Amino acid sequence: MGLLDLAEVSLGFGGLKVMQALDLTVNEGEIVAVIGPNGAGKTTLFNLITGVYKPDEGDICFDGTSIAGIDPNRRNDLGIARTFQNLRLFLNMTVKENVLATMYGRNTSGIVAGALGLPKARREEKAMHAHAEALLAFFGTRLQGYRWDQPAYSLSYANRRRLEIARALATRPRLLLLDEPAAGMNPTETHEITELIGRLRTELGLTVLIIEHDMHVVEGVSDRVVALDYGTKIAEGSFDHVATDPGVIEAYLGKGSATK
Amino acid sequence: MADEDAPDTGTRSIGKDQWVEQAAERIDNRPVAKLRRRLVQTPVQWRVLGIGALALLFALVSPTDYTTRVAFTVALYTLLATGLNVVVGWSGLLDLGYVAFFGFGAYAYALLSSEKFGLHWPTLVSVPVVVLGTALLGFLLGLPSRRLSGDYLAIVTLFFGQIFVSIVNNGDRLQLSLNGHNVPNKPFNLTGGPNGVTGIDPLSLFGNKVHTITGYYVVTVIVAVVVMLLLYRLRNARSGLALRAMREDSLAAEILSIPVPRLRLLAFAIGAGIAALAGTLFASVQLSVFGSNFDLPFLVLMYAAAILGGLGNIGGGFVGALIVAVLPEMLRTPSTGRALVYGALVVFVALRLRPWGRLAQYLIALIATGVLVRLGLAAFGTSIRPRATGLAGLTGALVPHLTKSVSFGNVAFLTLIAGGLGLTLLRPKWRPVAAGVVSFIGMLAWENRLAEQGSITRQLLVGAALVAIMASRPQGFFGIKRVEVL
Repeated sequence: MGLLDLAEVSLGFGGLKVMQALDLTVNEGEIVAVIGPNGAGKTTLFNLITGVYKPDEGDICFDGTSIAGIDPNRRNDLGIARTFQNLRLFLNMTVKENVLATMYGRNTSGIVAGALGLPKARREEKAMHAHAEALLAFFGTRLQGYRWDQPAYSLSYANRRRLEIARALATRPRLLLLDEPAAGMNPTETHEITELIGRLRTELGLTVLIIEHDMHVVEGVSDRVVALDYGTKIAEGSFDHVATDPGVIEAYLGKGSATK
Repeated sequence: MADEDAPDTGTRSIGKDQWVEQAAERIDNRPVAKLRRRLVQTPVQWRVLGIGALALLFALVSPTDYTTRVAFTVALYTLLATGLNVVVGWSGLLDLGYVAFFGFGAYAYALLSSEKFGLHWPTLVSVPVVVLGTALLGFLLGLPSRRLSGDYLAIVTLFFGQIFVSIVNNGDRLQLSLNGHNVPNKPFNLTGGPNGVTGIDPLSLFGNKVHTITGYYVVTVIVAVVVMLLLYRLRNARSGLALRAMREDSLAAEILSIPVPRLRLLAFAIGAGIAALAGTLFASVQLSVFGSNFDLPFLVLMYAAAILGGLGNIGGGFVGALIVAVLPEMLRTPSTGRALVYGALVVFVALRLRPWGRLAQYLIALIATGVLVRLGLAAFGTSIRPRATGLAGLTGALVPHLTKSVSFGNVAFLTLIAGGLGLTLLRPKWRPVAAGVVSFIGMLAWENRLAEQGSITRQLLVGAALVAIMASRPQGFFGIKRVEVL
């Protein structure tokens, strides 16, 4: 039994089956990459794990308990956080506020304490700010200094991706789902991201499930690779094993490509 | 922020950012920029307190009860706009039933502290009860609509606002017919129907009854300042951050630990509570409440105040309230109206027509039109009657004044509207000249038609001013421009 277990999970939109009896296990401390052509169901998988969709059949267990029926914010409380492929930052809030906002679930002071500035709320806010600053420091100087107080929309594309990760980390997750963290980044930045994902495990002890199209990143970070196509798992194993799997090559390049 | 301020990244090779490191060098050090920065860096709490202190000083220097009453209206609207700001500005919930909470608060206070049922609850009991009760009502209204957003929420809340007015207007004959038995026997009069509730107790604070409008003004200013300070604290606290995140992206917020449905209810409850607080002040100063006090136009006015001031900003409510409460009052008398119209014209010209060449084009076009109109009138043998003295004399010397000829004023007014619309279609190159012509027609219409019809002009000018303000600053005076997608 791993940290995350999907058992026979299926999901359909009307007649369209987007996920068909998927089994997947992610063990504690592992970095698992999910690959597959466009429309394979990778982001749908993330949406199922985080609760955007509820599975039609099958069960999703986190740390041994079923989470298939509970609300997204409760799943986050249990320790699942994610980033978004198409970037969903709180654009009109500042960089620091983006990180502070998602600490909601890990704190308890209510509106009365917050409005009156009771000692409990003040203590909590002080700790939140310190935590936010530490998280933003995780990315070197890129999200530092005056950028704390700049609106998130003023950031470059790559910095927005970094802020997405910082914001997800603010919820103190155990399992982090990264949806194409290197999309739109240049080779240097891609290299940085690869290093960063390694640090997420070594420094923060996270388990990471990552969707990525850049095979350098996948090769660089993952312990295990899962290939999806049409909502089913077509291959699983080490990077080398999956990269040479005929089924995977066929899914990416079309029928007959594997034999050449 | 220079390099040494950045946290020690040690041996890590990643994350060096030149732009951030050179930030200090890019800061503008000219005196105006410095002053501006200092003003911006003054804590918001001090700014709110400063404005509150100035507002209290006004109570001492206010010349008449009328001016104090206008000031009271500003303070009341500020309170209402600030509450609306929490629901719409922070949380992004389009709540069109907001005024119903204001009305509910007013009626609840009226029923608990008036001759109506002979209940005379002391102020310090009834006001908290009313505020908490209305917050609970907001919570309950939110329950069925907690999954609705945008237009759908607007429809539900609009309906609530309308049904409140209906209930209040028909609440004087409540009776149920059960199996042929009427319960109660005689129709029960709860709200007084169209006659409203009268004989409401004045506020009574620490043994002192508040009787004067000045007293109410002072109380309202203090309440508004306290509410603003509390809300500003809340804005940057855990719940405030979560409310704002919910507006920005409710899906991302929900996945990252923020319980969106629950916070929607919270936002409704906070807004309803603040509106109810304003309602109790309103009822006690008016000593009576009627259903028509809480109709749709008032809702629009509150939205105008909140949006004009800048949604999402604590001080915005005050500026918006100032505009929607004071502007119509200033336009009530023709002489202040004239000063306002010409003043606005001068400010607009000074701000928008730069460099000097454009200003010169404008002035030449203005004067040339004046000369042509005068020549034309003289050719038709129409007499020109300049106004007597002061500002009026000055404008009279420039603008033909023909009060007797109503149709002339009407023609000028229609030409003004056509000219104003035409102005937006012209190429920028021709705008200064055209603006000069249109300005003259505007003065002509003002002097010959609009100034005579105070009550109608007031509405027209307020509308025109709002259009102009929103066109030049869509985010409101204190609002920060929102960016949706980049």
